[in-house]
Amino acid sequence: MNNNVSYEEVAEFDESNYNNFDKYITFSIDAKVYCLSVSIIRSIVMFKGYTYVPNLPSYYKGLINLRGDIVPIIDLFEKMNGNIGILNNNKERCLIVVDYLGDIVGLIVDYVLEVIDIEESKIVYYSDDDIDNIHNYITGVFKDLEDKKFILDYKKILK
Amino acid sequence: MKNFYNSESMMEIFLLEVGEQLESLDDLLLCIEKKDDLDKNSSQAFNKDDIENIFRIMHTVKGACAMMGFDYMATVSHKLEDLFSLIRSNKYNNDRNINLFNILFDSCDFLKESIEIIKKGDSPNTDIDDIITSIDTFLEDITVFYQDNNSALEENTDKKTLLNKHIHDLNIISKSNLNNKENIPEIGINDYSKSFTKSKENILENNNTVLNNKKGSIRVYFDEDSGMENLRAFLLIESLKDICYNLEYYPKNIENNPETCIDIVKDGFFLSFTNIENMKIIEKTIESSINVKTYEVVDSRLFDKFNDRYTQENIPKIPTLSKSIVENLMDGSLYNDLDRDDFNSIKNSKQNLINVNLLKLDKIMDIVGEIVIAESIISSNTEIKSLKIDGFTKSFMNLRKLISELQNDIMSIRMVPISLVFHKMHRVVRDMSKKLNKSIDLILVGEDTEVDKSIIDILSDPLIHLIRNSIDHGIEKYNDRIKAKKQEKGRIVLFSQNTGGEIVIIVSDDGKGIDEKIIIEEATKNRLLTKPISEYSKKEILSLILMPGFSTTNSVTEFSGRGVGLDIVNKNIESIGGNITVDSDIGMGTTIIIKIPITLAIISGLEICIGSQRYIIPLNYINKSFRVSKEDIIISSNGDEKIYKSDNIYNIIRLHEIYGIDTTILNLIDGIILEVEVDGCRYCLFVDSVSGEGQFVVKPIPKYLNKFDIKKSGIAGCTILGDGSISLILDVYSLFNI
Repeated sequence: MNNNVSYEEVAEFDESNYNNFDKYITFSIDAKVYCLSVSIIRSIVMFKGYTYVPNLPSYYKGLINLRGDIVPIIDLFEKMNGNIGILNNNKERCLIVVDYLGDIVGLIVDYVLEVIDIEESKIVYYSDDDIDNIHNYITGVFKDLEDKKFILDYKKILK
Repeated sequence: MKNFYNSESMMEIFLLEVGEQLESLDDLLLCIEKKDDLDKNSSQAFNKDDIENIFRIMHTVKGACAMMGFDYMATVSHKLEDLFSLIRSNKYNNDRNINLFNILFDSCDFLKESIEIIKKGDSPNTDIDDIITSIDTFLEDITVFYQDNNSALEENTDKKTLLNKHIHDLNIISKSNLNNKENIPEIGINDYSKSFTKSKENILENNNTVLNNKKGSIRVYFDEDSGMENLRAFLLIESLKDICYNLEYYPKNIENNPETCIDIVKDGFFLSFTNIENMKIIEKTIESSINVKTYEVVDSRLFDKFNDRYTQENIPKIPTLSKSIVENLMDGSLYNDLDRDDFNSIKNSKQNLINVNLLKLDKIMDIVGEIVIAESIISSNTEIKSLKIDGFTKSFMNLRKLISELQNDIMSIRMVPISLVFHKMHRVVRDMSKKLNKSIDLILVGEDTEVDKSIIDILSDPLIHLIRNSIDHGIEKYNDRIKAKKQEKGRIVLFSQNTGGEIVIIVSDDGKGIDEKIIIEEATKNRLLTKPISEYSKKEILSLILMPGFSTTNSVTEFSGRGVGLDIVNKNIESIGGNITVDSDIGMGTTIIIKIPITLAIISGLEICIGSQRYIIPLNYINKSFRVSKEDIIISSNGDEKIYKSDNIYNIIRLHEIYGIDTTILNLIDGIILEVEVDGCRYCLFVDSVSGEGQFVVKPIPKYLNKFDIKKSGIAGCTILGDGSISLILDVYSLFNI
């Protein structure tokens, strides 16, 4: 049931490494496409069922068992939008597991799409008072053909 | 030197051994000092055994430090060795000199600190000038003191010495100089060395006669301060083994008895072999070996003499010892006899201990934890349960039993007596009482209580803080104690006991106690109060001193007053799942009670269900579980539900309510009531159902979630259940306080 893509496999995705290119993983939440730097990603897993932990902020859904590690999971949609999302405990969901300063945290997303190279100069950075950017979780936007891809600031999300 | 840093295992052994040696040195010194204080009449602070032991420790430390390339540590220990060789030679008449102990403790502390620094991998502090100067001044002082007292005596003995010298020379010629060495007064040391060189000449002159003997003997001296002489000698033997016939050597047992170092340094290392014709080759081999300073060909009879002495000294001991053991076994008084020979028994018991890296132990612990989980996965599998195979159930039960035995044994390996921490406190008390000029007795009770190793490591700092607080704030000055009609000596009791589920540690003093009024004043000043003063109970007021930033001392001293101590103590204890309570009576003293779980690793617990969630409650908190009928439920006037059962009225906590879990079982009579007891207070938990009992491996809640204070909401940790899902372990104590 776990069709994992490990970090190593992701890294081999594209051999052509250019210095000013950064690798990002793209995923969708609520039909919007977001990008997250691969540098912090540990694995991508499907999961079903989690343990609820009381008295946590609502975007912390609880804990899951990831091959013996106990990992807290965050609903990214809820964290970014502040809305209370409904998480069906019986439906399989996609989880991006990140390693942030030694803490392992899972981020719930709708679909993981692909790994892409983004040239830094092509990112349009948001200013702090941009309307689209309510919680400052998004650093900028990258336009790939007609699609808008939002670059996430993982430090702010995980802090 | 760099290579040594790389050789990790060697480093580990070095750190461990030197650390142990220094600990025992510390203990020994404390012991001697105490004896010294008690027995004011005795003129000898150090008896011969003590000096020998200290000397041995210093020598090992020196050798080890020099070998690992920590020259500065070797220098310090060398200086200490000098100091003790002076004491050993009775030049220092060792009257109670506080300076001496201070110097010894200081240097010992320096060495310990250096070890700690090396452990952390920081660059060590190599500035040893202060210590060296202090030892040197001290050495000078006592030498001057000695000379003043003994100059008269010296004049008298001068003539005797001359006489002695002549007798002495004769002795050398008769090849028995070394046996007489002890008889020579130490003052004559210069003369002695002169005669010693003479003896060499004599022996060399006699070389021809030596060669005519059938056996060849060589005496080898190693470089001064080369350290580990026994191993160097052993290496030499190894290289000579092939070219010498019937190779014999003295001292024996060099490879496993480090004490032989002292003999080798003193008398040289003797070799004997039968093929004199190879003398040249052998000499060359010796010359080319490292660390050999000089060597000389000696009469083989000298070798025999030493060898005989060795045999006489050592062989007969064994029969007498074993004889006495047999006798005592028959008397049943072996233990009394062993006390007499304390040192030997310690040495023997040490051979049964091995040092294991804690990480390896943790790994085994983890694996056992996984095995327990795997076992419960198999046992909870419904298909396996439905199988009816002959003998399967029986052998599976057997496996279960073995696993739980294994688990218990592994747990017991991790248990260490709390005396490891308690004994450190002697030193703290000693230093503090010296500095603050308060006389204090430290009484240890129950120091053989066993605690998990991981807890021991965390416990040390909090206890030091508490003891310091007691001495600094609790115990009054001498005059005040007399006024208060108390014993002159302050008393601190350190108590520990295993009460089944947890360890209780009590630090209590008979000092002036804590004044509640001052605490309230201070707390108001620092805005630490959260409700009107009148609503605070005594217990609550006293527990205010555990809050961050609380300090009633106006002046910051070396030891306390910054208002961080008790707060950190509290944090440390909480981090291992314990709690602290404070009790105090003005004028009578203060008692601080610490309760900590025995082990953090595996607990037996009851699995309960609430809605779709499952929780674990540690079994040792549960008194009983039962169902209630309508008649048992009482609704009090303010709407609280209570249960009246067997003449007791219980408060009830609905877990699904405080955790906000959806469940269909809302009526008390439909679910199960668990009666739990913690800290002497009983209450009931209302749960949907109980699904089973078992062993659970406690895993901590990810530290990423620490900022949300999960512990406060009654969750102690989590565990992985048989089906791979996670279940939270409830903390009955903090549930009650929500």
